[in-house]
Amino acid sequence: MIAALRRVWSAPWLWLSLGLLQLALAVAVAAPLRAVLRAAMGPFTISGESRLLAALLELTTHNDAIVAALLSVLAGAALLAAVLAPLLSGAVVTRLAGPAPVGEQARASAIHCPAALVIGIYGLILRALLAFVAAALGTIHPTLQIVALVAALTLSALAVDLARARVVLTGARGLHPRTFVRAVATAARPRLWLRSGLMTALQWGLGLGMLLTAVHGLEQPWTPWLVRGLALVATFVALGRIAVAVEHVDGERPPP
Amino acid sequence: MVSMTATRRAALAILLAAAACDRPRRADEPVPEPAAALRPPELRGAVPAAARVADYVLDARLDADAHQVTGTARVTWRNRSARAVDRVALHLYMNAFRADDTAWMLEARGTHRGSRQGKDGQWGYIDLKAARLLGRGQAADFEKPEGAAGPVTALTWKEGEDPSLASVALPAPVQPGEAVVLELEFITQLPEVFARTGYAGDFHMLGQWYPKVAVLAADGQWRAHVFTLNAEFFADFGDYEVHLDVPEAMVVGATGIRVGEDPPVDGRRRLHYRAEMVHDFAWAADPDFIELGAHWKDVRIRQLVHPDYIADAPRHLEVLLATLESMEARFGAYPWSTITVIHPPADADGAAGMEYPTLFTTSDILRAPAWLRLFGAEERLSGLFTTVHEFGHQYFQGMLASDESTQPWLDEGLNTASNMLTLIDWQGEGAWVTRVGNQQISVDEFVRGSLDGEPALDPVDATAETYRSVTGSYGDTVYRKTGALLLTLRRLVGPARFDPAFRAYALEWRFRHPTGDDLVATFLRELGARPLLEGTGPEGQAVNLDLADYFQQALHSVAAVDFGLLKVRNRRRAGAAGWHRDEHGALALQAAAGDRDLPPAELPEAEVEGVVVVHRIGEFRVPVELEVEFETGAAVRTLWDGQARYRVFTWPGRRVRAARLDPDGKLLLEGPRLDNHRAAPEAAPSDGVSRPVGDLGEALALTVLGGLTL
Repeated sequence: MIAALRRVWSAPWLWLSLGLLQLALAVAVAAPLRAVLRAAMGPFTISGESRLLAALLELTTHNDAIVAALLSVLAGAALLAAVLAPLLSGAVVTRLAGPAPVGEQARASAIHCPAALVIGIYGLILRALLAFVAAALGTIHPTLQIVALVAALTLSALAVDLARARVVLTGARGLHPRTFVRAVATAARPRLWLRSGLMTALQWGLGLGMLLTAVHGLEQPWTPWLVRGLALVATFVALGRIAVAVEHVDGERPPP
Repeated sequence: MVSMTATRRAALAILLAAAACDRPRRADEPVPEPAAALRPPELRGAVPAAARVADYVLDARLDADAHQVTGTARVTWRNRSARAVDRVALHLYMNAFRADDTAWMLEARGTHRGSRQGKDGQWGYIDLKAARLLGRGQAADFEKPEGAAGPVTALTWKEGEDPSLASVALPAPVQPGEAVVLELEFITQLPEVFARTGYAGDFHMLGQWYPKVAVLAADGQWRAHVFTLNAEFFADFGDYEVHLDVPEAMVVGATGIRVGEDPPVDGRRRLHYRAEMVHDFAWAADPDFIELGAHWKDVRIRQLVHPDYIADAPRHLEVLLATLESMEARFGAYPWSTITVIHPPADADGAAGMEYPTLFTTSDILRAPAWLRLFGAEERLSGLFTTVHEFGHQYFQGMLASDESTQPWLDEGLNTASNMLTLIDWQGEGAWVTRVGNQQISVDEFVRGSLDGEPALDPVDATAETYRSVTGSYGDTVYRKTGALLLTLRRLVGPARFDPAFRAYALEWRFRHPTGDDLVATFLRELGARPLLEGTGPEGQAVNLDLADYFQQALHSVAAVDFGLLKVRNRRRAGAAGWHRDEHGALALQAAAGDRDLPPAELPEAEVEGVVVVHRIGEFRVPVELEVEFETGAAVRTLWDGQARYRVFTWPGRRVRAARLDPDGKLLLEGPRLDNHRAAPEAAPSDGVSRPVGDLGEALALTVLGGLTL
């Protein structure tokens, strides 16, 4: 795991540029919400601390656009995430495998984007199937469901990472389901799964931390900056998770 | 069934004891029955004997399989009016659930507060089987009515146009001051519970289950109202002796105290209850109830909790103790020696949240999932508020027995106001009902929030049937607008004057049937017709509140309180430049002091005049306070009487930075408040919403992006 993180550390521009891209996208996605709220408030302001809930209730009672804007933030972010992950996958794997010129990274992204997209869809199918199994286990005991769900989601994430890394680094046929099936079989190796799973869990924890910070620190001037800081760390950890897969696939490759 | 119940009870009792180790007694150990139904005279406050009008001896047998009660009611009824009456009006409330075309069902269409009429036990009814006159005289014997003088006379009766009413004809009029003893045989079929009363499995909630004599007003007219969806109940005070024959396994909670119990015979028990100076008798029975006991002063508290909700019981007890403390301090002594809290099971939601004398049903406390609690989500509006509210009814209708059909606001609304005061007494001035993260909905905002949604359709002072179920206006108007109008008055005149006046009403009308006019008259008497408000008007004058006008608007109109800041700005102060006649009558030119082309923002403060325009948007006329903050940091407050449509305020020589209407939030009647705070344009104000909520949106986006979910 340390080796994987070292790979990320040695690619600071990758991490920083992706982190900043993420921050910029979040600002852009939230901009319509800010604009709708500014328009709804007009020349007025709210007074008193902790009055946001009441103000929001009053605003949304008279203004459906605010709810729509809030939902558009979620939908917009989800859409961007769905598009960007396969789009950037080639570049990320290439850079994490070793130093590479920007042009080569861009070419890798362009070439492998369709395969990364298809692998992402395979990953979604696997998540759905395993979530169904987890739900079935939940009928035995709720804790069993949670454990199964965590296992399923971490396994799926690793399988997707491995499949994409093999496509980019070893030329595996990304569109063929066998590539993904092989990746799932590899992902089931406990130590590899654990290493990647820890990264995934940390990524989730950071996501939760961002939300908790935002909700508990509402109206505080430091809150958005702390959230943005956590988002940068989350990007680092996400790259670390991919680096775990890259590290493994690198080990599979014959020496040059 | 019995052994399983006992095992479950024991296990849960151990769990509860482990979870609440500071509890003074074991969970399943009942506290002893009080010696008398009323508290000792020195503790119970005034209980006027003249209020005792209708005494009942009830004898009932519950068939738990058929969900049916067979019973006899012997009613000793006194004619306290000034006229003779030749019939006795009866309420047969259970007949509301008899068919689709009863007045109640026509409005409810099979649903009540989100609970739907059952399919198995769809209908409920009460069937009078016989009516007899057992005796009459100046003081018919309540203790042994069967021994009353005179022959037993069979009586005839007929149902009203709606079966929730009936009338028993008397062979001879009952004279003023005279009493009669009626005996009524009845069978009550319970419905599957969806509206207060009925059954769910083994759970039985028996409210309004026997024939009840209506209230005869002083003018000799019966105040017998058809039972409609939003109407509740109205009855005279009296003493109750009640014998209940129930299956042996049943744990029973009832109005009053248990004074006797016969040994079980053939799997059944016969329990004897007594209640004094109450206007109703309700009871609940369930073999799964776990009994929890406690005391507040000398008042016995009994919680009968379904096992599903046993973990909630300590929190209900905590809030009940706080409510007892608050209500007694504010509204006078709680007169009865007991209070019983029923926690209905999950499949009997329809029984939850209802008040009866010395007994009420509460509801379960909402269980937020663990992940939601991480975000600091917490609420006091579900079970805890139900306990506060339903206990509050012990005063506002249990003792101050207003007519819930004619003036439902008088109990529900006054009770809501008292509930808010209880929450403040319990948690302090910053009391809240819901919170998430570092934000909260305060008690004030909860009351006020209901006035900013649907347009007001009905005034507060309207009969229960005025409020049509399809409009949804009942709850917001009767409960919360009434609460808001009282709490607004409290803030306007100050708690130091309002609280004693409210208390005076509660004390004066204990064990009576107050009307809205009585409430208004009490406030007018206690506060004066035009109480002086704190603060002064723009010219330094005193500002009074026209109390009668306030109540007229608040109770009898749908006028809304809504003020807004139309303008907050600065302009050039009027100067003396130009041509004026001098002392000789000749025109002389006085030059302008500064550059007249400069915008107000660039003028020195001495040459600026701050302007604030307050707009009364709503039709409700009430004084409102304006706070103006100047560039120097200084602030002034002034009261505007709110009578005109708008008012222009000016401050020559002072630059206004911002203005705020009703800065202390006194006007709880004002729903929309976002236009109450406004800064001058040159102050480059922040709206206070778009930044933090936008930040929250950005955080949501970052979470979803999740490191670009690479």
